Amino acid sequence: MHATTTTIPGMQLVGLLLREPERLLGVDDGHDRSADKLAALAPRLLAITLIGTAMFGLVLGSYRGDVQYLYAAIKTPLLLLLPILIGLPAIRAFHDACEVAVSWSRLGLAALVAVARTAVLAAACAPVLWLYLSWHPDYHRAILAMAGCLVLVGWPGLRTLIDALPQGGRQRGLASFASIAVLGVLLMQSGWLLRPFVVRPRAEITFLRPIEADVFSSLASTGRAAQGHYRGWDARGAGLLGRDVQPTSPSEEVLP
Amino acid sequence: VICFGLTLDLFGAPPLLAEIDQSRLPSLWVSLLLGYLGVGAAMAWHLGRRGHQLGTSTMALACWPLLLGLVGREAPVGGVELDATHHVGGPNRGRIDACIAGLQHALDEQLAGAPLIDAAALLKLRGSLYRADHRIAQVDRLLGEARATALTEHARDVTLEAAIARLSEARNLAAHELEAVLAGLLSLRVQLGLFALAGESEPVRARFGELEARVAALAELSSIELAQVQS
Repeated sequence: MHATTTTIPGMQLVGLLLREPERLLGVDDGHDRSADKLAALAPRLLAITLIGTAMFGLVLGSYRGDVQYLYAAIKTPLLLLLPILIGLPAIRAFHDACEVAVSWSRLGLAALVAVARTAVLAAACAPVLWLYLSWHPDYHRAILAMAGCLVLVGWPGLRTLIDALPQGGRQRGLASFASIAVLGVLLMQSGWLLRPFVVRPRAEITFLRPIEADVFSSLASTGRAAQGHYRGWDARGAGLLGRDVQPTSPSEEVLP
Repeated sequence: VICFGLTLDLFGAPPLLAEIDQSRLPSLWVSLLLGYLGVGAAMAWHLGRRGHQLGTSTMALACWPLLLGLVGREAPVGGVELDATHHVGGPNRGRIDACIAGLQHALDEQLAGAPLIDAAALLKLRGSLYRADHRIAQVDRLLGEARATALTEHARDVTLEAAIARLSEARNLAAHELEAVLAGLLSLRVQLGLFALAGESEPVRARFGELEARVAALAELSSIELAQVQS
């Protein structure tokens, strides 16, 4: 007797996400059942995503403690979901342009399975990160550990998403590359908007920092600082959703 | 909803705006958020009317882009079976995958026009081959156990030996047929190359149809032979 999506228990679903995510996707013997599977599985996959990423967020919040536990647990699920929610139309457009037809239901199911898998892996990774953070490492090392964990758990999820999309098409590789690039940029910008996740032990706790420019401005500032042109931590420039930040006065500049 | 957001920005109560400003959310963000949630609410209502479960409808409120594929679709009746062929297979699964992938690749290189072989038909053929291979692997295990049992018994059981011989013969026949189909898939790939030169699609389609029929016959053959053995 074969398992069905309505009879499969929650823990077995988590096991399938880790071991055989292909079984949750929509093609059986040539029949695309993505829409039915999406309708049946979506709430539980979302619940797994929320629980898994919230656990990872709790661990991130433990570096500062206090109300940051709650803030990080709320923001971390958004960190994974926002890029997917915003980037899905772009991924579909890339595949269409490269002669790979992807239905909305297949794309939605693939994205949900990929995010849920990432969330399960993040939850599995959380105890190790918690142990490391409990040793009170330097702030920058804590940030690096967080980024490392996200890369570690994000890669299998990304592979699941790309592999789950239909095969064929002469330019499928290009579509996959463009999709990964868009998701990467969206993830970076989401992380920038939703920061801070890890707060310095004596810093003030805020839910969100002021919106200033974007992640690329920050990277440019960091790059300038690395070259010895340090002009403070504030990023310059602002887009549609950002705010202009007044440049720091020359007297505040720290010369190398 | 966006107008509501902009109106809120222009004429809203100062404490509320102050609160929004304090939480670093510019009015444009509030407008976009309200617009997003408005679409989500409409989608949740639509899915609810189509009979989808409460969890799916509620999820649409915040994650509606993921559920766009359900617009206009009725809720599935009963459970949806998970991929039944995924865990099915035998020692030849890798070869089957390679043959089908090679054929798929050759079809992808086809320059223009409707595809010669439907991708769904190709996947269906792969599933049938998996099952045939799985049955052969099952029979191999059964034969191994039966032969081990026959060796340990002191008294010679003629009936058991005859059954083992018949099962072994059926297994060899099925394995030979499976090999023939895999070789046929390879030759089909060559025919696709000929199609690229000559442009005649009928031989390719006819050959694929022949292979489909052969795999279907393989399933019937296995069941008949096994029934004879059991009797």
